Amino acid sequence: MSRDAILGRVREALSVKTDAHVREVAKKSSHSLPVLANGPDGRTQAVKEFLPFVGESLEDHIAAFKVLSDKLQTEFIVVPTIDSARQTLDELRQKHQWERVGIHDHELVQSCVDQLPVEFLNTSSNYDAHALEKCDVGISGCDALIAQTASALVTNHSAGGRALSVLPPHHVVVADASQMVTTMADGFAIIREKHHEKWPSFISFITGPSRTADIERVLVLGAHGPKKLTIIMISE
Amino acid sequence: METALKISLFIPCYVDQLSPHIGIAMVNVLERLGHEVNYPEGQTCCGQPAFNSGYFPEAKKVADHFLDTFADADLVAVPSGSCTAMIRKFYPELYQDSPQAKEVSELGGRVFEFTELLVNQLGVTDVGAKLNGTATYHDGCHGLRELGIQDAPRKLLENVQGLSLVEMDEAQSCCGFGGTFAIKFPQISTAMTQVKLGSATQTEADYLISGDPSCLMQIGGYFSRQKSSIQCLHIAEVLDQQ
Amino acid sequence: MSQSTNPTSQFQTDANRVTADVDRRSFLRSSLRGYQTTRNATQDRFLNYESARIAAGDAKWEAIENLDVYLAQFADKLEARGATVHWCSDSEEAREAILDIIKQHDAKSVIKSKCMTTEEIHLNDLLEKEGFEVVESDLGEFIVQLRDEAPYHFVFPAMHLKKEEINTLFQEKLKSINTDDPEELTMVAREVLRQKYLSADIGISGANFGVAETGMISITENEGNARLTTSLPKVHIALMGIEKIIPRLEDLALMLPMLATAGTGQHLTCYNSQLGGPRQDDEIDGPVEMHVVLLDNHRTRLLADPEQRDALRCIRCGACLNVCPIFKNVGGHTYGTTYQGPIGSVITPHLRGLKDWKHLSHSSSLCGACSETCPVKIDLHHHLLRNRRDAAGKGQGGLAEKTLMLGFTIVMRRPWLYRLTGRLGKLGHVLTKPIHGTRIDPFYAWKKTRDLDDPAKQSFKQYWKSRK
Ligand code: SF4
Repeated sequence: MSRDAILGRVREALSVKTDAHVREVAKKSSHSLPVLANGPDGRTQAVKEFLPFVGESLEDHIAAFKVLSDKLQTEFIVVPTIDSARQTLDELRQKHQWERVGIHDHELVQSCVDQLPVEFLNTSSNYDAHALEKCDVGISGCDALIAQTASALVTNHSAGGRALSVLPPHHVVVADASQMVTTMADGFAIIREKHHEKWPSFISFITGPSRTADIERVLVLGAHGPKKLTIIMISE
Repeated sequence: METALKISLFIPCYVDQLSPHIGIAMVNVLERLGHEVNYPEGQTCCGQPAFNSGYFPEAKKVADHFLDTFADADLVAVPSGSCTAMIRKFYPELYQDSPQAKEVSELGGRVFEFTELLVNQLGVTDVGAKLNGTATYHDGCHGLRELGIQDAPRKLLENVQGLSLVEMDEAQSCCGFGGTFAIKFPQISTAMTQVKLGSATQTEADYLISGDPSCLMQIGGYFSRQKSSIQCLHIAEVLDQQ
Repeated sequence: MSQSTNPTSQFQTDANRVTADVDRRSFLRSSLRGYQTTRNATQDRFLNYESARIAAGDAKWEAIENLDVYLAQFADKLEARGATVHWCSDSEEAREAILDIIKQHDAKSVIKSKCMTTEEIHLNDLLEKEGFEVVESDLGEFIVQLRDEAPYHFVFPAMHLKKEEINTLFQEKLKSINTDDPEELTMVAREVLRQKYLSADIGISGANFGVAETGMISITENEGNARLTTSLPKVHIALMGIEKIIPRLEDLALMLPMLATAGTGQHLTCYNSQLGGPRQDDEIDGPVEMHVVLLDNHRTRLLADPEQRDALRCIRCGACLNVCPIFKNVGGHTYGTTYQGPIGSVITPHLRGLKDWKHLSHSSSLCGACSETCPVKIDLHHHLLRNRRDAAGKGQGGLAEKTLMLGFTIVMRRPWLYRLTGRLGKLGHVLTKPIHGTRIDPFYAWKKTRDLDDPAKQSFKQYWKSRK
């Protein structure tokens, strides 16, 4: 069936107006409500007004991010400088015995890993997915950190493609404190700004290590994606 | 006690026939509070059985009769959240495009379930009742979700001398009645009441109290079949205990 | 599930079986109680959850009431970035479209991430019949696929199974080690599926939302299987119902937390990905082709209903199932539908015919727990009532019921007749004493499990008279 035929059916169906009574129900509530602005801005505003409040300052945001990260079992490490980030990565390398590390062409990532004594796989040029799967960790950048949800917002540009951040068993994000924003809406705004009308084909909010509770509601990390997620944020 | 009010009773059909004592208890409490109670004698049923089965035109005919009977009432007291919801919430839907729409919605504003009448309209939370023991309260779904009645019965029960209130986990889960549902799907209906019994039993309460006689018919009927020692009472009966 | 072809009697029979299984019911109940506790805590973090529901509901109203405009925009934007959009009127067309793509690529194996719409069109059956290997990658789906069962719940597909049963299943089908530790069991599945991602030619996913403004689909998941499914194979096919549209990208900033909160009680699920097209010129990986298959399959019929188009706003969070006393006591398979629980009971009669599926509208006590919990405020339980009204209006209740209702009306409009009936009722009660509790007792269905008080000696009416 064609596009026109289906759109025609949709239009015909919509030629009858929605029942007023039913439309009303969605507005009504047994609770007392603040008046809600209609339209798109009203809804973006809604994210700020109704979702959990995480403070205004960077300190507040970091604190909120930390609380949720602990709950999610995300390892959130705040370090002062790039140098200390390098050191942290080296400690992680020793602790987890990294030998093969997936990276990509990303300024911050590159400057953090340049001294890491490991074998690198760079996903910014043609790479083999099987080889990436054998990496111990994937280290990527991000576009933003979302305080309200403790998410790292990535695209295939900021995270070295679609697979680097999901195929290896450990994902490390390096970020700068200036990337911390309040809400997911703020995150979208950053991507909108950066990519104007040429959207990346992949955007993702990463919120904790991969998980499942499909067996008797018992939480298990690393269902299919990374079992570990580390976010290193450089504060200076 | 400020001014005595004229309160008309609506005693739903199945209360009239099966459990008139609930209506009588309500009369006693209201009169004890000094109000003048009357009973429009032409009354029968609110029409809910037909409405819930999907027979809207039939239900509307019964609703017409209700409207005639209670046209002059200032304030109507109903010992059932379910029937109150029918009148206040569903009549407007039945009369959506009819010339009586306004009349219907005004009447809806004068009809109250017994506990909301006492607490929200008459401002009474202590009726001076006494009953010894432990009780748990079952929220009837219509009262709870269609009318938002939740605090009123609890406030009233907290002030009953000698009575302590323990909440059960499943206080707000449906008892399984649901009108013809109880007959069409007896296995599901009964399974729901079984859950209620388990939850009520856990509280070790002596009484299960509710504001809806239809829930009590279901819960009481099952509890007694299961030989549970929990006694099921309508809140009007409790408030009538001296 | 019983093999009976009549959905009504299948429902009754399965309901008999499950309600009798006290152990399984309490297993379900305690699992859903766990969900409810987490969800309540997450809801409490909101500054104003009620307003958030209204705002989320508004976004979906806007989408549904302007669906023609937004759908066209969605498709245009996607196509502009090199995706192919397929418009399918029904299951068959969608199945054909997908099969064509797979054949064109000479594919051998297909990996799927969770997608209820593929259940709706029975895609796996067809693909397997055509000789393709189809692997469900979501853990819950993987488990029910191994058991050759339908998902039990459209968000928690394997919630009915105990870990011991999964152990047995894995040992049998995967020759895995003997363990009933959920972590070890999950790792067994992880290892099996890892290899499948790398070798699959085609990845099939669903979509939780379609963003009209930017031409993207949004996928919500926890496991990472959808990300792998849409990253590694060279072709990505997404199947979505036409109602999944939302107007703007920023709407997701509200919808995604709402979906997570209502769905699982998480503040946000682990991965929320927006995919707009195949790999672009300046990108290094991702599928070289992306196909979005848009499915009507009677959704426009529901859209034409000025009351119940409301139900097309559903975001499939599953919250209404989780709080539904019917679902908790009959379980997911009893419904015999792709979408279980209250939302399934509302929409199935529209998608598959009122006559065969009206029993779902009657098998409800209309308690309203579903509507109270729905994150976009769909008037669910009242829609069940509207389905009842429509069935009765079409005479589908049967002559006996119609006559009963007519009788009811006649009596209730005439106080004298009502009084007489009351008296006759009492008389009838006395006369029918010998058959009470037997199968020919008119109250048999009630009395089988419940006592019933005898009619009072003195009705309230008589009491009032006597008082005067
Ligand atoms: S109807 Fe509402 S509660 Fe049920 S699945 Fe849809 S969105 Fe969730």
